[in-house]
Amino acid sequence: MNQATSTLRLLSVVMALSVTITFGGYSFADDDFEQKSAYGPIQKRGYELNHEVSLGWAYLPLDPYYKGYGASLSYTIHFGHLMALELFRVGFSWNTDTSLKTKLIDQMPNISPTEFPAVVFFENTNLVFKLLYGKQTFLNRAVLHYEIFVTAGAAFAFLNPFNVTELDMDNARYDMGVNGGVGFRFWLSPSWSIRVDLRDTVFLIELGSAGGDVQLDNSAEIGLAISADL
Amino acid sequence: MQSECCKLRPLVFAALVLACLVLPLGAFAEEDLDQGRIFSIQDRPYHMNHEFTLSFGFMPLDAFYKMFSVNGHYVVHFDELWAWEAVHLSFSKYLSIDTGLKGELDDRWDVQPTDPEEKRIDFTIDTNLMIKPMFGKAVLFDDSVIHSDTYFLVGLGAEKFETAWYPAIDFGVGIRIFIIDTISARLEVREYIHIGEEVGGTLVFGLGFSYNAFAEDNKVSAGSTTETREGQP
Repeated sequence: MNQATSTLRLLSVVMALSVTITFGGYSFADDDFEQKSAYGPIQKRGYELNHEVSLGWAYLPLDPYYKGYGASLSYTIHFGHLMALELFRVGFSWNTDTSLKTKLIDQMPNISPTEFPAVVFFENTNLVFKLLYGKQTFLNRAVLHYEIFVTAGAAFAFLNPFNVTELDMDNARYDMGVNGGVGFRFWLSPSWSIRVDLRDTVFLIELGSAGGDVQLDNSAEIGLAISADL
Repeated sequence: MQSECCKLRPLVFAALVLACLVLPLGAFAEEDLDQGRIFSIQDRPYHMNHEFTLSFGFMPLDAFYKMFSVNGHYVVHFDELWAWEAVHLSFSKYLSIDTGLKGELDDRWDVQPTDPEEKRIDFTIDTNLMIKPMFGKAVLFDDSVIHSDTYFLVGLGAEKFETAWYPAIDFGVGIRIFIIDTISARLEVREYIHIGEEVGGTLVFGLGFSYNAFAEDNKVSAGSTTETREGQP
């Protein structure tokens, strides 16, 4: 009787263990399957950046007295998947007068062109936060890798009423401020990518003026650049 | 000896240039091959059907006013590629902020603009063809996966300014981020070109939320994955 009981107990333990292992294993497999089905296979990023140099076109559309068209050059160090430092982004703008400015100067003899300082050179230093990295199929045929990032940092600008070729240093201004923006990049190859930047700068301080005048002046920029990863 | 060196210099330079050109190409090819060996194909987990969207617009380019708008959209999605934004209504009357330019002109030079009010937009109505050539997924903060598509719009419509209606053509680009089967967020940029006494443009940035009605009609089991290797079906 005792032996039969012991045998039964042993069998029960073995069965219980088998059930636990089998169903436990099934449950893990199920979880694993669910995880896979939710996100698909996990892949390494196809493209990563280290030292990025960008050269691009810039457009300054917001000022009511001028529209700026220019070029920019930037160097960015990428620390990882999420953070980067745009060490510098320098550029110049070739400014064209709006009809409002032309009318004012033409119709009002007391208004001088020197009263309209415009951004001629600019420099930004920014932290870059890379929010999104992904890929999209194009017409179900090709795969395009992209990322979306935001930038925030300091800005410096040299303002002058005239363009680079005819600068008037008596009416030049040096402004400092902060800038923020959002950008989009897609890769052409592991080393080359195209990026679009949308930035807004708020100038806070006019350098060189008595006591550093506090003023709020806004300048937005749309940029399109080609980047090389060195 | 020096002349031989001078003869060799162009050859060395040419070889270096050639190496610079060829070696990176080799590297790209190798990287491409590495990526292409194993790949997986997934069904789209989200499909749009009848879309109703409420969005908010921002028109930043007018010198005198920064305008905002409230928009309603109805979009019929025919398939993964084509859709028709049957109606897009935009209301922006009273939703503007004075940039302060009028005040500046008055204070600095004692001048008044002829009539900046004329440039304010009250309503816009348009209908658009929508093409959605790109669909994909992205990782957010290296933490969670979101699905999105990119679409392009081209259409016809009319803009009602303070003084009159003008016919307009518009085109745009946007990205849709799927939140759940029935809800998605849309971020887009549109440019309207109105044709009247003079041709003018209106740039609109929009952010909206869409409800996908009858989503279950097009539903495909989420995330079903087919993994395949080169040369195998």
